[in-house]
Amino acid sequence: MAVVELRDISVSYGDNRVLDSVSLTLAHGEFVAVLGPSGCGKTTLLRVVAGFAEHSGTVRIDGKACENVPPHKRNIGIVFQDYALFPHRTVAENIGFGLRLRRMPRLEVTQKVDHLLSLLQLRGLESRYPSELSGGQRQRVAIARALAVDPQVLLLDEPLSALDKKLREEMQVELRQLQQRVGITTMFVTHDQEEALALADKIVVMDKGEIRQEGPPADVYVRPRNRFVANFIGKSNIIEGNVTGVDRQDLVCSISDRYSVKIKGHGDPRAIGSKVDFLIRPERIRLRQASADAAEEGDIPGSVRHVVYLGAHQNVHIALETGQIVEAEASHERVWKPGDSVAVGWRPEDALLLADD
Amino acid sequence: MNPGVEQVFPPQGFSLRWYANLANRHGFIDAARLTLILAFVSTIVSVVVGLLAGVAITRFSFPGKDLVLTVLLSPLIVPQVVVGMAFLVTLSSLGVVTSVISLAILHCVITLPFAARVIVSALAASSRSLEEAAQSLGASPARAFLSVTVPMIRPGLVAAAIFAFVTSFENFTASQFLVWDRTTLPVELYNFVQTESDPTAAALSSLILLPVVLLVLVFNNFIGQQMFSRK
Repeated sequence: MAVVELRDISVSYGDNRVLDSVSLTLAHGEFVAVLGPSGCGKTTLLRVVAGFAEHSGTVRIDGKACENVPPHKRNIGIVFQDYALFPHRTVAENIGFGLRLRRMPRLEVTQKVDHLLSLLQLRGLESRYPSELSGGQRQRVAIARALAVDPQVLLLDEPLSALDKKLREEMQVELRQLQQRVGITTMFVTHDQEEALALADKIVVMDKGEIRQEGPPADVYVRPRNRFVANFIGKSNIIEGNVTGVDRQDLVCSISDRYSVKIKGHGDPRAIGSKVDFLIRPERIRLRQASADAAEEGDIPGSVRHVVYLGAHQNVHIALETGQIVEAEASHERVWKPGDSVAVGWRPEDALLLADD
Repeated sequence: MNPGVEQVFPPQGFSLRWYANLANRHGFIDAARLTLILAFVSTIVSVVVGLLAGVAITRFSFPGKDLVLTVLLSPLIVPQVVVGMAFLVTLSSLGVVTSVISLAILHCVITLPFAARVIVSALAASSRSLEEAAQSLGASPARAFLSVTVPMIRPGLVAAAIFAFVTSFENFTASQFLVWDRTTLPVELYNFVQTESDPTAAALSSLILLPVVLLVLVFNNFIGQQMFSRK
């Protein structure tokens, strides 16, 4: 059952339309990442769910319409980007804040706070003030405080952005494990695509106040529907071509006077004559030294522009003879140098047709 | 602290004679009482009104917001002689010629901008997400404000109160226009210096300075502690 149901949510600040009829559902226990560049409306969407933003359209939480329900009656847990811990209260007081507001007996508050302290590995820190904690600890306190009131939904607003890379990766794993253990429906707002891919059951990609694509991470990564999603998630080589023919199931596409490529599974004869964009991920590009064999197999010649060493692999930027510049992910089996003559190819099934934006 | 009858510098010795003289003069005692009452009343009023105005200005947008802010702060800009004159003319034409009432109104008007200025900046600097966090945990907006924001801006409130108190306590320029039946300490001091020249005036000056210095010391201590213990 849908725990959160958003229908046709629009938000405008003056003439600025921040959200444009966004609809979204979060199933019970689902971890949804709302992903997009800054200013895409993702934080506003989170504030709509929490009740902090005026909007049109309907919000339902647990099936109940929320039009006239103020934030403090929605039973929602929020972790803010700056954590928003109460600076004049200790860790234990922060976590127990919502429980005391609910007039829970003192003993039960202590027990519950204790439980959360161990769940989030905060034991021994209960009498510290937020200013005496590290970034990771503050974040765990913020999560514990949000979870204390047994909310129906947990909303996280870029909670990892203030942490350094190593800690962030640790917290990603921790957050995911915690979410699964508690089984809480979670909406996570982020601009970091790796974070979204690593954490979410479902990714919602937003741009300019609209949802551009939603689906499981693997689906969004492997089959981006449009140029925006392709560019925003992962590295992409987007190539323009003209459809010149159909070869059984495949679309034949010319990318210059001399070179044609195949795109698998789009063999619709009506497409002949139209312009298309297609995508090839850098890790799907087959890179080899220029040779007669390669030319025969239809690979496109090019020369290496520059090479970026990335530890586990290298990224090779290649200027193709057809004019495009592509990026290929290559292993260290061969050392590529700027100026090397190369041949670039890919399997028809690795070329993805993109919808127009 | 000068045993002589004339005010001279350097002092010719030390004596508490002129302090004792203060107590014998009924006018000073009465003026001191009124000055303290005015200071307390205007402090409370300006901190409360300043807090309410601060909330309105920092939390809501409404037409004429800038105008409200300007009007609120205008007694800071208008010379006090003008403020005092304006009060004199207005109040006497309304038939209010009681010093206690007219001075109380005057002092509230004069101290409010000092308090409001400090409170507005304290509120503007306080993070909105703290209140929202409290609300998401089940606190009503009023509750969230009182239990989260007010403790956060406490140093600002204390500073506002001290500014207001000191401003009222030491006010002479505007107050002198409204001393119909009763007078305040600074005005009394001025009147005294005009007619007499013994060091009672110096004794009184030091007494006026005393609470002000004490307040500033307390304030410094308080702010220092706030800054070093927990942020």
